[in-house]
Amino acid sequence: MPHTKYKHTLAFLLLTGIAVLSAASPVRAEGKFKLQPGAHGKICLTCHVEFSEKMKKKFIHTPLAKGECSGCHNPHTSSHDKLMAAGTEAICYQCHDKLVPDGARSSHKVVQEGKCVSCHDPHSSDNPANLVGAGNKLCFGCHKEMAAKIEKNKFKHSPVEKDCLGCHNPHASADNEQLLKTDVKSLCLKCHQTDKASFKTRHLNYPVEKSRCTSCHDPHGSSQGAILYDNVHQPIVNKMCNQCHNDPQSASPLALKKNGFELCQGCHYEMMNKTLNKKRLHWPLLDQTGCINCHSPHASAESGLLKKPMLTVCGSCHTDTIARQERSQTPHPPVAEGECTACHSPHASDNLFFMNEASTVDVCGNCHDWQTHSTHPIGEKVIDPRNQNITLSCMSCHRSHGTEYKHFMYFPDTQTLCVQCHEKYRR
Amino acid sequence: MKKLSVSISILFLLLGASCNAMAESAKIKHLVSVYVDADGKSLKYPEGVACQEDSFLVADSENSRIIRFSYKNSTLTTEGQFPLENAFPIVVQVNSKGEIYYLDGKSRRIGSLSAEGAPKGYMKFADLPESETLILRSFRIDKEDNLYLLDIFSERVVSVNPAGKFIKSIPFPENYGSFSDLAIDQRGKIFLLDGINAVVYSLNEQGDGFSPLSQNMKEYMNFPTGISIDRAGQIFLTDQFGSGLVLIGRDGSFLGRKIGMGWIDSLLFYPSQLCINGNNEIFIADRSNSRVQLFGQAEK
Repeated sequence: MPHTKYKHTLAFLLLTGIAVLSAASPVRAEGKFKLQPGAHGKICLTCHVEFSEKMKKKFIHTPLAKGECSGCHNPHTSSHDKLMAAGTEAICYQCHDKLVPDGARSSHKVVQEGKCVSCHDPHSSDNPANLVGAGNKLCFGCHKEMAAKIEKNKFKHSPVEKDCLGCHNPHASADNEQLLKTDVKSLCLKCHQTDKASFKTRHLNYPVEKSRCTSCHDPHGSSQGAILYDNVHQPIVNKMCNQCHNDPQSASPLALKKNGFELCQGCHYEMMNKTLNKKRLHWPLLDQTGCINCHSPHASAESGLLKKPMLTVCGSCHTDTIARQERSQTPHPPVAEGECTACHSPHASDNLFFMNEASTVDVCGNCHDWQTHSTHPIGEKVIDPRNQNITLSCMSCHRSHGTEYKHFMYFPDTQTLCVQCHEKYRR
Repeated sequence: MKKLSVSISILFLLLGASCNAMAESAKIKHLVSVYVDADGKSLKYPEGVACQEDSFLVADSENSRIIRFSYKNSTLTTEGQFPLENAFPIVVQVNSKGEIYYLDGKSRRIGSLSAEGAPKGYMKFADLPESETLILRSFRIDKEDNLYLLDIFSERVVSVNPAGKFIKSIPFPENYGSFSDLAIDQRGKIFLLDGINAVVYSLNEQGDGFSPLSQNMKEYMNFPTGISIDRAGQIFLTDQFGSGLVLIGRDGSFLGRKIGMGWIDSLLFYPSQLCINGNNEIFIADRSNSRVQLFGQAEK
């Protein structure tokens, strides 16, 4: 009796095993697309003969090397170009899902946009990591302005000449801005020894090793000695750091002698006096941060020691204005090119909207010859029919930073615009 | 006794909630636009407006003057106009005695006038710490006639009594953008408006700091610069660059936008200060339209 029981159990296990194996084998053999055994990619190469060249390259993408074309492509149909199994923004992440750490401080724009093929050949390459180009040349393909500047620089920074990836991560940086591998200070201190006497002397014995080196030095090189940014604040040129900071021997040598505009007023008194006597002040100038809301106190790549290009500086607070211009059907060149000061006085003005001139007609007239543009009467003597207290100007019909309509008009078409005043022609 | 007090508390809570709901569903209706004084002289780019039950003051900025109007039974009358020598008034306030205070945008000082409009000079502050670095962006007056100064240089709100004697200083919160205005509600609570980030901050329970009441509301507005609070506690903002009025709930939630951009009556073009009186009438300095507009609130 016991023998019979064992026989039954054994038979049951055997049958179950056969059933499981027989169910699993076809899946392994046929895969998602029920391909013939061993045909995951090899079968594709029978038609795509040009791949024989790609297969000769030094570095071959793992799925291709394994002959698994169907890892990325759907052999039958697809809603995506090149029969991709998913959109380009998603396909690479199916395997390479840890390229951008959660909550990364910065990430490369092409990575955000899923444009991996901008840098990588998805099949094969003679460059490591299947890169489409070697070294800095690849980066400079997009970062053309940077490349031109580096080329032009009188004083080169040797790591830049070697490889951008010496300082930057190509995909993302978990903790640092600008895709930097570590924070600025740590990066610089890898090569530069701050305990050397020459380092201390050059920095007038200020403990700058605790500061951010890139507030004075351009890490990509420059045409100024010591690779200072191209525009250097005069006290730095004169090696007079103590004009603004405490003496290097003091308890807090890097502390400022005064805060906000009061510090800058010491030298820029004429500008400040003029500014403070205007009716309308740009308030950030008078807050505790003051001038350095917009300007770099040491050196800058931008003229006027602006912290960043003007459009970026102004746009950091006036996001709505910049966004409006970006949405605008007709770009207004001074805004699009970041020349905000072509129309506005950024510190203060007696005029509305910090305009450079009292009349907006005069401001616009600096670039536009309105009398050839339109015979419509405008000016201080022409009352706006919609409002007895205002006169007609360019701004009566156009919004200078743009609208969602053409020619930065307030209304979708000329007819709708005109009947705002000429009501009898309203349809 | 305990049961009774619980019932009363619940009743008050329900009443409060219903009042808030009523206010939040209010419809804004244009009442009148003010273009000229009694002599027919036009307003020019007025930036400030202050209001009481049946009168209001306009900081007629470009004309360097304050004008007092009365508005009773839908009738608008000029009560007086007070020229200011060499000043550019950008904010105006009135205290319980009818005395007028204004912020001069040029000198960033607070000037005052008697209730009759006689100049009383610029305010001097006593015992104010760091008085040498006081940069005023705006100010308000509470029911006790104390002044609250928005000091953007020393990053604080300072309260002083009517004589200018220092009472208290409350520091700005961390990580703010730029404060453009402040408001005080019926219970004396202070609110700050961060124009860059479109965030409203309110005084914390301890009364020693500010915390965000709203989230960043930049997607709903462009660049708010004026804030006022009605009796029910509803918050109103003027969106200067978006040329509109924005309604915020007492809990800081965005409730909606009212009034669009334009030049005809009832529309706004780069408005600045606003004020709401006890009749729930809203007064807006419609700056770039060179006028002041009055709106009523009707329940739906």
